[in-house]
Amino acid sequence: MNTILLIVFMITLLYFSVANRLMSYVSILVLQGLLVCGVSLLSLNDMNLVNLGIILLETLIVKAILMPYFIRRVILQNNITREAEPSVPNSISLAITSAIIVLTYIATYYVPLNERINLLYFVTALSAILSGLYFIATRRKVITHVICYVIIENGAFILSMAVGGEMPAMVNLGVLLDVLVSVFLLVIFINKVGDVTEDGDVGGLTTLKD
Amino acid sequence: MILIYLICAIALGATQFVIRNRQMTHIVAMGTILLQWVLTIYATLHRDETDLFFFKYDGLGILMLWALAIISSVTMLHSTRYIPTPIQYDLNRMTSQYYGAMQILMMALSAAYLSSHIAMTWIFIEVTTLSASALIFYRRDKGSVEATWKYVFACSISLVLVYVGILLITIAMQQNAEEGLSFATLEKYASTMDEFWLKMSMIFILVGYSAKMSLFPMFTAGIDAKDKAPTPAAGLLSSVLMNAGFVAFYRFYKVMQLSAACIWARYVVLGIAIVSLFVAAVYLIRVHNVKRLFAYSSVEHMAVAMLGLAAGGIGTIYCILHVIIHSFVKSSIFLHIAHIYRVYGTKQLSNIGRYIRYTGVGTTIVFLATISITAMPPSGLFFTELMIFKSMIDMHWWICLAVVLILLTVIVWAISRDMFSFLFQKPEEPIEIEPKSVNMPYGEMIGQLLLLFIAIWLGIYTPSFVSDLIL
Repeated sequence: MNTILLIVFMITLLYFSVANRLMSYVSILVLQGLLVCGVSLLSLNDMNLVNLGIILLETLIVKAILMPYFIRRVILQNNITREAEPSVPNSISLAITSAIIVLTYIATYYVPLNERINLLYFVTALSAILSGLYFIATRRKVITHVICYVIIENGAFILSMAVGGEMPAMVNLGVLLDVLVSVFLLVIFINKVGDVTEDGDVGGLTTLKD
Repeated sequence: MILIYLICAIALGATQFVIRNRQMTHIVAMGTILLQWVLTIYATLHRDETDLFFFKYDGLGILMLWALAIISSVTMLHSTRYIPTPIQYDLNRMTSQYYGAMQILMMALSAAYLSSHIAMTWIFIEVTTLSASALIFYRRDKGSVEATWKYVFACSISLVLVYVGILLITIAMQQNAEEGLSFATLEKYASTMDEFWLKMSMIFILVGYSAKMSLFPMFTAGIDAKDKAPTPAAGLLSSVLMNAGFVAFYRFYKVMQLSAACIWARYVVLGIAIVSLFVAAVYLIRVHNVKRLFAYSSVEHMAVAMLGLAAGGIGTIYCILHVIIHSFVKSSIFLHIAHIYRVYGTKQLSNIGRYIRYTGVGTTIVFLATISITAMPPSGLFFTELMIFKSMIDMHWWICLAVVLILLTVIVWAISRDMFSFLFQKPEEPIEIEPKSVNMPYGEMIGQLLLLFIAIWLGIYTPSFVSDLIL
């Protein structure tokens, strides 16, 4: 079951690379949040109630509901153009994202994986992180940068599952803090960005240079 | 004690955010300084003791706390006079938010310095991003929004990378990961860690913390932040905040030095340091803004410190001293930029000049700071750089040393060119409004000179108290 969820997660990355509308991106975030929630619940079989609560809060509430909700609200409130307007054609983005996934998969055969790491988790996590960085580089709108940041966070979260679900509680709390920071800082702050730039375009934020 | 400190710091920070009276804000700010000194003295008296499971008053942490206490005291005193307030905003509200963010930043920095657990360090470094962004955002104009956005975004990405690095350590530790991720545990099992995963982990952690340390590749966000933050806050960002990134990386690097990947780690740090120096040299040649000039100079000095770290031996000792001395010099000059702005109303290098005509004391401070920052004698940085070069010679890194010296020559030339022409020559494009000859308040003057004096004193005569803490 986990394998299916992780493969679907990788497909969402491919879909993200060709999606044109911001609302599609938000839908992808919701789906990814649900997938991450499913993966974590299936991976962490023998966790206690506290950990279960944290995981649910992190994935279902924050990643699948709160983050997409805030982002959607920001898009609507700031009248941001619904087109994603990537700076690279979608076909090229699709090819690059596919290449990232394939190359990550091939690369993992050459690294010394031990019994603590699940190969598919590792490939999915690394693909999400690298694809997220690629999406940031090729999208101009500030709001898409936030969305890509959440994809990277999802990748990091899956990586934490890849180490065998024996993640120390401190690191787990760290993820929670990270997610909260992204909610409170990135999403709230973006309202201010909307005040000074037209259409939430990060291209407007280029006055600081040497 | 650390628990009491954290509770008091959060309470003071929250009080600042609530207060809407400027006088009261300043009184609470004095409480902040007092609290910082209490922690620093307590930590010094309880050296090597563990507190609240995740904190340890070790030498490096105490040294950084002293630097933070001194610099933040001077910064807070400066802030009471210098808080630029755009007229469309409520002065009292902005002042309280400024001091509240400052308090939280100081708390997070102190906790990050003292943290003995890699995840805890990461969490408090993340809190510094949050509080620093509130300071950068202070003016609420387009420039500060852009700088804050870039800073928050770059730091958030960086901290995710650090998080990935921490996860990779757990893979490297194999079954030992269950014992926790305190630095002591990491050092204990360093020699048995999986070399490949440890190397991967270091790459992620170094790249991640490079945003805080102002090193290549994530240095850009910090430059904009220092440019747009109010000058007292910029002073903190370019000194004690960079120190927090340094401490976080240094503690991890010590683990690397005990592992099978120690030689590899040295060369990675060396590579990052040389590339950072190159970047600093390139940007310093073409920089047009006095704040950005000193921000790029921070990139240079952190790169030099990294050279010492890579070389090891005495290089490590002088690397720490270099970071400490740099904090004093850099915070002093950033605090003085507030006065430069009062005189000229601009920070553009082409619009400012003949500073000596407007303020004698200011000229002395800028002159001393330029001498110090370019590491010319009697600057403390001269002695630390000399010893770092010696440690590179000990390693027979002749080619690297030659490259470093060429880059440093370019940097010294670029800074001297801009700063000496600012002090003594006519501006290239004088501004229409005649610069004002504004008297420098005694408090500010003493504070800036004190920081410069400490920087020179630490280099010429490093007190046994300091060397004892470093060793």
